[in-house]
Amino acid sequence: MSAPSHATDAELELLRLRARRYAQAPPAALGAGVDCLLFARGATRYALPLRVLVEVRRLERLCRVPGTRPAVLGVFHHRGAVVSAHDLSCLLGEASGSADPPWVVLVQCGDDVIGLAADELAGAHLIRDQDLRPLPVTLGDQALGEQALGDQALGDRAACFRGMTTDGTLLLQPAVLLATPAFLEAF
Amino acid sequence: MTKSTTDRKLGERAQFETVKRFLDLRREDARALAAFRPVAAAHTDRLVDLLYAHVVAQDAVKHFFQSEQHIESVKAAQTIYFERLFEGKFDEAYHADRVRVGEAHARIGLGPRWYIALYSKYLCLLHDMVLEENDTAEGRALFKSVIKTICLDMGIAIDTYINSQRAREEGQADKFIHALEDFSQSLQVSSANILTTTSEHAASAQQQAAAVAQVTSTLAELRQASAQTLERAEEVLARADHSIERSQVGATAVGDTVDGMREIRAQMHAIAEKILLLSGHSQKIGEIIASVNEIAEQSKLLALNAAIEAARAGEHGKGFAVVATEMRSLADQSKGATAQVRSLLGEIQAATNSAVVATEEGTKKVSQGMSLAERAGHDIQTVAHANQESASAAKLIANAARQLGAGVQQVADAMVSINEGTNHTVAGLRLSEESAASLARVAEAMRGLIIEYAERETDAPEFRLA
Repeated sequence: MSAPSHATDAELELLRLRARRYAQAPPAALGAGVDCLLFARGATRYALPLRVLVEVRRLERLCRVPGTRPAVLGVFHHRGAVVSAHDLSCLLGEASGSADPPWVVLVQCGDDVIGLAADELAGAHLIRDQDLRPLPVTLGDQALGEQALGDQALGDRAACFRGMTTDGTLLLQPAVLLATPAFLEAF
Repeated sequence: MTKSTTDRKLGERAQFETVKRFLDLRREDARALAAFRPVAAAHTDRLVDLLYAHVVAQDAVKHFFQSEQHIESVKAAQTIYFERLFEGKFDEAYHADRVRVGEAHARIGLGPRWYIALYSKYLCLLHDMVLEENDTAEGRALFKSVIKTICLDMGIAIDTYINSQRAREEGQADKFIHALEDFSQSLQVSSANILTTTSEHAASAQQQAAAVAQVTSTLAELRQASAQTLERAEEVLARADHSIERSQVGATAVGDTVDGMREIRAQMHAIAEKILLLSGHSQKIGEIIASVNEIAEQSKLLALNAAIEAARAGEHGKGFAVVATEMRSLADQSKGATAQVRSLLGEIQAATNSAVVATEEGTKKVSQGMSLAERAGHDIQTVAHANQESASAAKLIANAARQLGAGVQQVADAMVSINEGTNHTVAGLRLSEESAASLARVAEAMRGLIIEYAERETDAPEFRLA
């Protein structure tokens, strides 16, 4: 199939990149799979391995902190500690979800715990490796504000995602995510 | 004095002279009478007394005298007359006086027979008186002169009486002729009027007969129309009775309908209350479902955290992970069940709400139906009342039609009688016409006879003293 005669050069480049991405061989088998928590924030569904999680609970009595990055929704009290709540929407540059997300996923980050705001909880599911696919080339367009091409558009943040399932769920890599300063630092 | 009267006087005067000559009454007779006048005057009173004593003794003539004064008055006049006889003047004045006396006798109806008898008695008495004193040739000549004078006098009186009688008879005949002429003219006029009136009456009777025939025909049509009216009225009456019966049945049915509608409304109220109760129960069930759902959510969250703990436990947490999975499965099932129950409950609530709305609508419809049924009942009552009025009117019309038919029959019978009477009247009027024509002919004939009698020649007196 030939490209449309009226396509621009950028569109032709996108088509060629997409063809190379889909032509890559699946990654090597990583085992049977990983049990993950599936949740949604905004219009995107995410998955986190259960082993990095501490607890899932309702996000109550969130306290806003002035001057923080948009990714930091505020802080809340959890078992005698003050935990910050972060918004994954900012990672992709998407429009933020609910201003008062009902759920928060507590993730073990070294000795600390951070919270990821969630609008919905889909439960725990096993995500097999063969179900994972490369990230779409258009992911992160809105964050860059320009025509982006997949991981090129997300830059370093693309490493926060291990892949995307066939139903469109982004499987997060907690170690990379929690090591990303743009997401983790409050100021 | 008119010319005819003058002529008549001249004729009588000439006839008087002729009679005197015929009696051979001469101047010597007048002188002899005048010479005897003193003697006669001496005996006149006695003669008059004797004469009227004889007169009043006669039943035939005493009725001419009304009283003694009347007798004395007549005797005085008679004395003057007797004395005048011996004056010997047989002139025009004498004749006029004698005519006057004759006319007076004619007026009172003293006929010539009594006149002559009176003169006869007078002559006899005078005869004895004259010849008793002078039974000589001179006395006998004097008595002859007296006889001539008496005869002259009687002739004048009798002619006067006869003329008066004839004049009176002629006057009566003229009056009778005039009366007959008037009667004849009146009879002609009356017969003509009767004929005209009879003809008019005959024409009117014929017109009346024609009018009676028309009225009879009209009455026949009227009788037929009244019969049709009676038939229609009876039909209307039957239909009105049927309508009244059906209206009563309809009113009863409407009453039953209203009662049934009231029962339905009561049942609708009961159903509405039950549905409201069910709605309340549904809300409570919804609240319970919400609680169950919350429990399921919490169970799911608990199962999720259990799974997280199992995952953090590594190999030691695999069994717990299975339990967490089962808990999550049960929580999902509970949530699914609650979702189904909620869905069903939502449908039940929607159905309940619809039922409530339908019940309220049904209640309104029932109320409207009751109103309509009550209105229909009222209308049916009105119609029944109108039907009753129509039935009453139809009865009145039927009775009126019967009375009209009877009246028309009576009028028709009367018209038959009138027709017969009119025919008799026409026949009688025809006879009256013929009678009037005959009467006109009789009047004409009578008028001819009257004219013929009035134009007859006046004959000379059939009797006259010579």
